[in-house]
Amino acid sequence: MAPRVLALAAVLALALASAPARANPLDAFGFGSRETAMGGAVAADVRDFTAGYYNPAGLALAHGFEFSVGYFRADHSLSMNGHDNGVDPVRGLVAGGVVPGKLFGIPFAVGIGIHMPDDRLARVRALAQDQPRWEMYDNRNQRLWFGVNLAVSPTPWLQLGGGLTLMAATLAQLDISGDFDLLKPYSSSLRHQVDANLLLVAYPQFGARVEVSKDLAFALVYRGQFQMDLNVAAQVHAGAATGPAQGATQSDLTTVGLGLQTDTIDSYLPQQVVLGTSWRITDDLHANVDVTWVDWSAYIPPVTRISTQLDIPPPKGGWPSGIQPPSQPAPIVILPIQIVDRFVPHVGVEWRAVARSSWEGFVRGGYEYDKSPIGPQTGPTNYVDADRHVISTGLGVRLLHPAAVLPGDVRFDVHGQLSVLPTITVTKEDPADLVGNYTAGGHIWNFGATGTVGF
Amino acid sequence: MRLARLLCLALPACSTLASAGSGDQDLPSSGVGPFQALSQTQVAPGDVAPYVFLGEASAYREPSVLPATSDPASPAVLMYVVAHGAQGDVIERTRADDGRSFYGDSPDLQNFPRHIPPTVLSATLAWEGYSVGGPSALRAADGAVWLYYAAAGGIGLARSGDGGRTFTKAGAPVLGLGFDVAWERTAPRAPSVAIFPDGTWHMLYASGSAIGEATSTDGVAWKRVDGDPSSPALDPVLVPSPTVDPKTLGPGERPPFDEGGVDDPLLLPRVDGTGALQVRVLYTGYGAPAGASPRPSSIGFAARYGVAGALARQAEAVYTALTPVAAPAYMQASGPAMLYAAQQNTSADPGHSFPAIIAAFDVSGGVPGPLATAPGSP
Repeated sequence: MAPRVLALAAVLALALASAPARANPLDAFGFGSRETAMGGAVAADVRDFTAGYYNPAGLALAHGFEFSVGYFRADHSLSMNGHDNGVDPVRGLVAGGVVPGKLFGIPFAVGIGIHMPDDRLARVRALAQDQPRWEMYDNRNQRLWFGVNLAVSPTPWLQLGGGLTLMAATLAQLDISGDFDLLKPYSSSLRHQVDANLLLVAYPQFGARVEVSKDLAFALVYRGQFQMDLNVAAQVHAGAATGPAQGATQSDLTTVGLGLQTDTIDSYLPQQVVLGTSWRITDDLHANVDVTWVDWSAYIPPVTRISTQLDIPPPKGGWPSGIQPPSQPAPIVILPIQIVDRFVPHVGVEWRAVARSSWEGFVRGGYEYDKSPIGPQTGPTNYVDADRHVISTGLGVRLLHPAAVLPGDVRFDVHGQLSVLPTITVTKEDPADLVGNYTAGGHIWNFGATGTVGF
Repeated sequence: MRLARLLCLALPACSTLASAGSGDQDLPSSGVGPFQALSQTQVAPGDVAPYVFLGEASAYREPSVLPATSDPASPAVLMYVVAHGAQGDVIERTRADDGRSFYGDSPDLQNFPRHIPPTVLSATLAWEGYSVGGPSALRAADGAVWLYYAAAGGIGLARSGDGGRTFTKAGAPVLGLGFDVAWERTAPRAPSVAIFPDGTWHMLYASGSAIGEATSTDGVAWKRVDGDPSSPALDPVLVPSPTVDPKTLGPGERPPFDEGGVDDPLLLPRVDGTGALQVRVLYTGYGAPAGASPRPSSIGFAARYGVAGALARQAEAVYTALTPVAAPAYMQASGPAMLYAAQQNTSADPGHSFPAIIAAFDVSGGVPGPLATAPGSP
């Protein structure tokens, strides 16, 4: 018993010393209702399709083929200065399956999992660095997640797994041409053409699970980093005039040439390492603790780097008196973000409250503390974030051998999750900051359900 | 089986319906820009954007605006504006129910030639010389309209008990020449007055190429205050940016937009989202000293926290245009904050310009509402 207590104490100590991993919709709101209800503390206690995210090694524990489908919706009530900012909800389908088997006598399993948002496959958004935005919730969770993993169990006490997660990046070209009226810009006649492509990017994940006894298991998981690029190039060639835009007429003053290249890391997911444990306290009750290290210090904020070339020669005879011709825009200086690595503790419990021969009922609860990795926004940047307390709960029903065609089980789980972000005050060093001082805080509700059929 | 097939089709279908994203509603802002000039669809028919009040003979400039109604959501404004008069500059009054379609604007005059903006103030006292200008209107606690103005001998005050239609002048300037103030090289001009949350009256004014401050307990008796108490002399609260040698600038860098002078302060105190008093100031920044030609100008923003002290400036102008722009006025209703200013108008003939009033809006506050017709009375 002493080693178990020491191990648990070590994990708890890490948990108490730590804090967020909000890098994609799954990091922020969980994957699967059982796992979300348990605060995401399942790295050593997962065996269904959600193992593709929490710990691929857990797939090797599957008893038979199973298919899951579910849905969740997370609604933000995030505000600045007491005004709701209308951060879009994160909502969509979750689904996946596990196919176990044996290869040369060694158990193995293949698992797939997907989170498919209702509204969009991915959203790209490039904002100026001074525009206030909920850095962890506004855009980065609006994207599809798809994972494929393989796991083996070379011995009964060891499972190993790994795979890839796929996402999409964007490459775009914008061309503008036409006639431009310097003094009456809204009389201009410009045409534009957009050419955009979606490119796939992938990052790896690996996991291991060690069962030191029938009551105690440990897990170690690595999730790789990835970044999604958004590159837009624009070319403008236009005749600049001071009269009605009529193409090459006598009113043409000069020809404007503008080259614009914007490069943005639209979404950056830092690498993560998870250390987890699961302790079966009694046959009906077990408790889990996970700690996630997130390499936030490598984070690249989604701020656009702009390269501009403006060519606007003076017309014959020079500029008319009183006109201040446009000049080459000053280069934008991207300020470094203040961000530090964090440890994120997750705690979860599951109690089998009802155990009958034909069905079982479960009550679950969990807690997660995400200390914001982002430093005070006292300068021109406004990467808004706040510490997050995540309280979750859920219920589950498992029907055992419900029908002849279903020799396995049927499970139905629901979850509710409340994230509380205590209000912070952002104070600017510069009184003439165009955004000024403000407060920020709020809460997020997340509800969902997942059904699984096992064969 | 049929149901299962239907579900298989319906679930992916739900995931492909796009919707517009949000997340940027009601973001915090100082409310003072950057400003975007009105587009052609946002000004009255007949006007050329961004001009909203134009009359070549009058050469309208130096606007000051007040809410025209007690409804804080209404965009209706009263505007006091300097115009060429028969014997010097005068202050005229006009009005727009939508903040953009002004009584007596040139398109309005084409439909209603009798819509002549009335003159509410002209030089009649000895200390005023031949012209008045620089109006700064505010509504006092009793509802009366107080109009501060500039003239040859300093800054004067006129009060109106009929909603700002007619005014009665105080006999003498309320802020005269600063003979003992080293930095004031000219008579004070371009006043801007506001009442702070603690009840004190504050005035910013221009003199020479700098901006100073005075305070009062009643709006009548004013005392100059020091922008830098650490030095023995009385200092301005805002001076031009230090001059930068163009040879030291990197590619694409420009010298400060206000290294040639600061002028036309507009005092806009507010209590920000954290409960702190932020004293916001819009002003004209000149890129070349007085007398230079050309003399580019833009609208800048400076501010401080607290009731006293020097102002810190925003490095970039909050409104700039192809032609010089000066003398900001500001209106905040339910929509975006509106900026009014005088800008050289060359839309009819690039070789001939005259000042007229433009409008722009703070892009952080959305877009202006629908247009209305010009009112039937000023």
